[in-house]
Amino acid sequence: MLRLLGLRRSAHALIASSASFLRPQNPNPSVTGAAASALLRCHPFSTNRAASSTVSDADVRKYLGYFALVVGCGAATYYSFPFPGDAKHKKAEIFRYAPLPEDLHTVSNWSGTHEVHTRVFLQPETLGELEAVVKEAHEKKSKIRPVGSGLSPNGIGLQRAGMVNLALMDKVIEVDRAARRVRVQAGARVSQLVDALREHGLTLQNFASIREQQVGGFVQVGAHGTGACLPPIDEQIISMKLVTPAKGTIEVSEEEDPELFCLARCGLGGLGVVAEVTIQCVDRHELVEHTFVSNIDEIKKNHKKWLAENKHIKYLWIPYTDTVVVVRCNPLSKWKGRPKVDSKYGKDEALQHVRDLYRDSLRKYRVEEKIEDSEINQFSFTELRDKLLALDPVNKDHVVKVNQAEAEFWRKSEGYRVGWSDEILGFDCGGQQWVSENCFPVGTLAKPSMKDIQFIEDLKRLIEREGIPAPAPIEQRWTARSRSLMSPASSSLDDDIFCWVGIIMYLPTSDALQRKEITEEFFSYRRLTQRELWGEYSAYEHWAKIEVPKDKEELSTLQARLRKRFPVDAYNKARRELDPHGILSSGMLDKLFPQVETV
Amino acid sequence: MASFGEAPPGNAQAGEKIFRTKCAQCHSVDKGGGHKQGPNLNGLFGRQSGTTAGYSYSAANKNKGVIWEESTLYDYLLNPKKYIPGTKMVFPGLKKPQERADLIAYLKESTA
Repeated sequence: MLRLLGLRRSAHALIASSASFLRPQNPNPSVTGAAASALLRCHPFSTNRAASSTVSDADVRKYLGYFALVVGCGAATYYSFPFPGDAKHKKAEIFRYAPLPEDLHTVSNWSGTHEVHTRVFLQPETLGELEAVVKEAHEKKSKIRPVGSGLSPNGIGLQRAGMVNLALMDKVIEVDRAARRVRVQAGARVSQLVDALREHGLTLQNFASIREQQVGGFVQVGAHGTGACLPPIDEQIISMKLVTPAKGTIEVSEEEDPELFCLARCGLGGLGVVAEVTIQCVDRHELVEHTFVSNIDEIKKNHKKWLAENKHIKYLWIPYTDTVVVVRCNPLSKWKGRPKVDSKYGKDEALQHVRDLYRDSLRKYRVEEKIEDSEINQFSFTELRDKLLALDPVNKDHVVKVNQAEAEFWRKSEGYRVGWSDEILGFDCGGQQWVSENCFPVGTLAKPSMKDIQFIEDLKRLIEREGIPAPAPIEQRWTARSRSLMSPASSSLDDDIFCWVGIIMYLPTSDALQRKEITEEFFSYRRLTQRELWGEYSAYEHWAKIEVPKDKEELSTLQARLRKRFPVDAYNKARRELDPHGILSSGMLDKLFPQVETV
Repeated sequence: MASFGEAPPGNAQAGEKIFRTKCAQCHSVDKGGGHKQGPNLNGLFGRQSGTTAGYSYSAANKNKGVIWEESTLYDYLLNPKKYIPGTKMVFPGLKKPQERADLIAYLKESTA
């Protein structure tokens, strides 16, 4: 009670002193706030009683109310914070798996970086079923975005409102041995297709690092392997069966409708559900893979020659070191006899120093969990790298040490490997990760511009200047041009070549906070490369790796930029014609290619 | 239907479809087939978690030390990341009891 009285007294005092800067709302427009407060301050007992008392009484009540509110809030805050040590009821939990309703499908991409929950996840088994699904969705204007294996690092196939997945339409329909062509349902995984082609003595011309993606997604996002004479995968497509919402099932090929064909080959799943694909194959062949360590000076001297001479070649640059790993693959038929396969060091020798670093780091970071030597000795290099990075993923000095160990590992892993092309061209690209891969023109095979090497020099300088905890490798690959209009390597000139450079940060942990930290670091890394390199080199991101900016201004800059490189209007026009209700589209596509009404 | 004992009977054919759409990109069930992103599942039933030769499991998976059988798989497949926190498997799980029962029926046939 005493306390309450005290509060009241101080309330009066507060009003007297604060009335000078608080502006009361006055119902009488002729008396301004300033005047009223002057009245309150200077003439508390003015002779003009009627006017001043109406003003002050109302105001006093109001400010008393405000004051009580402030004091009340203050007291409530004081008594509820901080939590006592044993308080459990309100503590924020970092991450919690809430039980989801049973009819909700959760679909996530391989890197676990994108995830959606949906009630609509349709899996037709036949073309007829797929056609019915598309027709119904078109009539109801409900979303069915085509999604494959969910391999794309940016989850381009994901769509909360609904998806259609062709995993049950995975049959090889026909193999034409003479023409070396295969007709396959788009839900087949690349590995399934390659297994089926094997018995016919055929294989695909080129491969991405992983072979578990569905053919439909593989083609639609413009996947690519490496080799300056070999185009991205979409260029190998002879014809496609598209199930479209507005025009039903159509077969598109160069002969039938060249314009639509060139748009739809790398159509990002926006023009129709790709149901069947005819792919140009090549004879199954063995490759000799030669891995060796080089440096920038040697690369500069030999780059033009290497690019032209090797069927498949890629460079793996290791930030903060002079090391670049060169991996080149050529047909065994070009060799006289089989090359000596053995490398100088055994697997254990090549890994020993990495294991030692891991053991030292475990001690240094005082990891309590006991990890047996026998267990450490079983880890592959990429697993060791993941485990090492997980100890302190965004600490530059730590990452530099891991990179140096990686350089040493590759020095000890130089050598040759012989195998079938589909086995050799795969690449263990490590565990979960963030990647950003850009494609830019680098002249022609006869006259390379050397912009690719400049790009890397600039990038490595940027990394060192900014102290970015950039792990290895920066993967650099090449392709010939594609005639698909939406391909980042699209060009009308036959002998143009393009370079693809991927930067990476691994997500070697399931700890939500650590993942967030790495994610932020990665996006700052990516933003820096964007600011300093993309414009200068006319570099555009791979469709499976492009991330949509949250910031409105950044988004409109990106949209304008895409418009400069790609026939966005033609793509949108085709989308409007084939899919007027946008049932195949997604938030990502709508943001990248906003439908602008054209006159 | 919180445990396998209460689950509806599984249909292996329906389970095969689930396997093809949700599991096959990382797992194979064929005897002698290699490991992919995930381990080969041949001989799964009765095996302890994290013990297939030649596959490098997460410590979490090995430490769990669970014996894979209908009842444990049923709980695991509801929410793998909750059942084995720290698992490498990027699979959000199957919420429907029927789907889990179907998949388990298929796995039992195909991995034997």
